Amino acid sequence: MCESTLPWSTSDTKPKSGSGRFENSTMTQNLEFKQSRDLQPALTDPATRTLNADKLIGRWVNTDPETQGVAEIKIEQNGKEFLVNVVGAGLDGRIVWPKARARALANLEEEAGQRTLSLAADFDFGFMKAETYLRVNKGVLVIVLFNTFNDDSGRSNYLNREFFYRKD
Amino acid sequence: MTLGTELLHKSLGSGWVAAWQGGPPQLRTHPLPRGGTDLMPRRTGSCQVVLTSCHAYRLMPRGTDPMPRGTDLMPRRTDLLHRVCRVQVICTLTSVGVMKGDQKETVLKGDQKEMQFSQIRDRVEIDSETIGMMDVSGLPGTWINSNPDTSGIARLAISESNGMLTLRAYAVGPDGLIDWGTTEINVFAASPVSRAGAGFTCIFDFGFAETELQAMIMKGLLVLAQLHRFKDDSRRVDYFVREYFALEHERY
Repeated sequence: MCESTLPWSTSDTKPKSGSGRFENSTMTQNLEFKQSRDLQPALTDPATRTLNADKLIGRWVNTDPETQGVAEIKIEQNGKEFLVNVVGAGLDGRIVWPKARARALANLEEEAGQRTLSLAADFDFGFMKAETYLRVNKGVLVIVLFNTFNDDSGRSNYLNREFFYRKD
Repeated sequence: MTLGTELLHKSLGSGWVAAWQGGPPQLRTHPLPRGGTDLMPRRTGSCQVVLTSCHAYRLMPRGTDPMPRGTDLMPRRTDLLHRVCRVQVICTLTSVGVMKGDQKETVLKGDQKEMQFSQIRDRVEIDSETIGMMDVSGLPGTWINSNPDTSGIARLAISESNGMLTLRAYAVGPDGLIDWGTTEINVFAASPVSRAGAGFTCIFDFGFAETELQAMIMKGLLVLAQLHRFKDDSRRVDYFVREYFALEHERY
């Protein structure tokens, strides 16, 4: 990435005092922000919009063969759209979750300076909702699930994290 | 409002308050009275309360703390295994404001259904005595970003009030810390049967952007995933950040 080609930089910008708004003298554009990170040049870098999703796309299998949670994940890309297919471990086989459309988020501060894409996907089962995010770190797909029950079953809402390796 | 809640409202006198033995997550999914909520005026005498689910609750005369004996109406030993049931509680309100509980539990056969699950982990047996309870004692406090050079959230202040957990975030800005204000958080346990808070989610909506925080505690550290979505026309891409926070303490 070449930061010199960014449409604006932080070097010639100055904050309006206490306004939470950043004025750029060269672009005459105000940027609202709630943290300095909202102003990082990479967020408007065209290269960030085209971050390679190859590391995410594909079929992933849980590293734990005895998992009682998510057994397999398949991530597909169709243009700008990402679809996440999840298969849960069931009693008598596998449980196919409803396919979810994922939001892509630039992951600019991953470990070891990696710049990648992360995905956020929600699964609605009616009796339960699972909010998830997925990221790849050093070749391992990590999914974190925040599960909320809506069925009065007395189960606690719970979070869970699982790891996957690429199958193909 | 559920049938049980509605009946509860109609059946209790103004001298009573209800305190639910659950944390914010249960309250979010079940619109029941929150701790300390006054109930509608009603005569004294016998009443019948039907709960449509098995969520634990307490009733107590106003101004009474701790709760006197005989006022705990928490359903006990209800059969929750793989089914949703109804609990019927018969209670009596007396003129002196002391509740003499005569509890009766009834499983209505017609309302039984299999517990649904999307993975084996969700198929569990529930201890009915702990339903609605969530130990959130591991969350309140001031959480400091482990990275002193962060350009994002520097500090989180989590506090508990009236059974609700709220979070206040402070982020690094060009001129110092920016106070994001306060928002309610949803607490999550580590499993469907656990009653100990192990993480949370919450959302800050700033108008021009929305930030969702998803946190989990691991080995004493709060691992905070931040999902930022811009709603303005600045052409900034949505982004994801994951940072670590430590709970500030006075021990060392």
